[in-house]
Amino acid sequence: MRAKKVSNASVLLDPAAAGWQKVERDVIDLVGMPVHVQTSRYVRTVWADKLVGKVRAVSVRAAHDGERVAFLLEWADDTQNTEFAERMFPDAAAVLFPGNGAAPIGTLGAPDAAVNEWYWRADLETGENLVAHGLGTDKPTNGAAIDAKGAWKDGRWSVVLSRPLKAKGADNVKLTPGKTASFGVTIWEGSNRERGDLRSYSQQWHELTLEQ
Amino acid sequence: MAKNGASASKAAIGHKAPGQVAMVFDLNKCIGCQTCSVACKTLWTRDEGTDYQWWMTVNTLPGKGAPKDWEQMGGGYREGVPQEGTLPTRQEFGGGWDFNYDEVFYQGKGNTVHLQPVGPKPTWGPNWDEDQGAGEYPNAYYFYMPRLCNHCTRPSCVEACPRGSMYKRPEDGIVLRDEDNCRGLQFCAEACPYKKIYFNYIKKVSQHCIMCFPRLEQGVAPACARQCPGRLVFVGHLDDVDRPIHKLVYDYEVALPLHPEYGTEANIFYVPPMSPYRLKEDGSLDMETPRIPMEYLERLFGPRVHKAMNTLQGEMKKVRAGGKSELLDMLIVYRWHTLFEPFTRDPVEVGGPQAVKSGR
Repeated sequence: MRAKKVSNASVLLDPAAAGWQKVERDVIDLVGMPVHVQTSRYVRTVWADKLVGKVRAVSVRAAHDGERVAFLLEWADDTQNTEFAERMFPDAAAVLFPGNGAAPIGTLGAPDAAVNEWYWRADLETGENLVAHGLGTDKPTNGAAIDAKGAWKDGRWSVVLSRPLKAKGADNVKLTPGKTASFGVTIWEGSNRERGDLRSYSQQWHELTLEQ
Repeated sequence: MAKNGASASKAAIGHKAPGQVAMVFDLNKCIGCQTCSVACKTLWTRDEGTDYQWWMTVNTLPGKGAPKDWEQMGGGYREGVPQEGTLPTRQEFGGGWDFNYDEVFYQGKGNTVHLQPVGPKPTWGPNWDEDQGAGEYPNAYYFYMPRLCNHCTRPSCVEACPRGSMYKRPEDGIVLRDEDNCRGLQFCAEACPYKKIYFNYIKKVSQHCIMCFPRLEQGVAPACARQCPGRLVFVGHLDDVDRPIHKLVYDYEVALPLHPEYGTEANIFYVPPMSPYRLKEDGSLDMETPRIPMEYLERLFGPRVHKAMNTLQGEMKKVRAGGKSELLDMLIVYRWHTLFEPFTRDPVEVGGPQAVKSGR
């Protein structure tokens, strides 16, 4: 898909911004993270017969203005989970980027191949910039701040994740106008107690070309 | 510390750590005063996000305890297989009650308004069913059960964490969490069969009793034990063969873990409660049937409770007949230092409770 060149990407930090309607969308299929790859024996045992990855499709739009890039993720969700409460978890989503261009998405990277994770969670004021080297290893990293804003309306989440194109630090993906990068999406459905590596994700990396 | 502990801990799980720190609570001496609970509370859980957390609580038994009906919440192991656990809610723990302190203490209404919780009326608390007990008058019964993290030898919480954020310290077997690596997933709280793990809703991480390790490191007993007015809490190394913990657990076998069937090998032990005699209908003493049913104690402490009770009763009989009993002397605790050796230093010597907390 293409990240549309716009005059001002900052106005797109609002998921309801009218500008998003002019950006073409792509629908990406998601699958549940398999239970047998989970790092905890407790999780593997207890979730063996449970549904993992309730959200199976996400609409993605992307735009940039040469300085900043923004993603709009939209998906259907009957239950708006905005906090840790009553045995449920906040809904969450992330855009993933492979470091070195080669990190495996199914294991969220590997010891020698990082995945950069732009993370939004419904209970947090802002986004988080994470790096992972395999399942169960994602942690905050420096060099870039992720702006994130989510809005839930009529059974649908609309979430914007955004970052300046330039970012310091080896963990952070480099995005350049005119170039093509890989990305993926992952979503956690809080009402299904999805958290950690209990989530749905795009099984492959998708291409994203930033318009010149 | 956290990182080293995390890697080294892998070997320790499932095997008694050399130097495992353990505690024995003599339930025959617990008066349910909650001084232990408050000692812990004032030291560790005063911040917002921890207001509902009581790492140490004294439940009244028989009762539903805290979190409410925790014994029905699963977790732990059966034949080595992790069992699904329920994540307790803040309400089931009792929530954190807010009180009308301002109104009573600072607005001149001290003589007209009672100190009372404000907001939604509480429907549960850390010892809500206090003194409810069981049985029929005049043979009703109850007893107190101080509960904290069991710092298990096979901690299901540690194994459940998909991030490796929890570990068992190799040097003393204390179960800890690297809060910097915790993402609030709460599989630990699900998997803990004793339901003593709490969620800090401000820091968004799980938290539990740390056995006052900064105190232990400086030779000071944990706050709950040190402050206990009943002097019923033994603290020490499980493998220290000359001291009470080892003798009570292994030699006399009168100190038992709670719910051994949970399969986590708890390192907090209890001397089960003896019963006062039952009264017969004519008012005379029934010396044959214990007031607290043995089936109930067996449900709590497993089949070994029978032997433990026989030993205790036998030793008491011996002393009544004029004999001596090392076991009873140990439980009487003639010198309180024997409760804590080698952790007998006064917190004042190391700068007071708050100073020793930060490990200076």
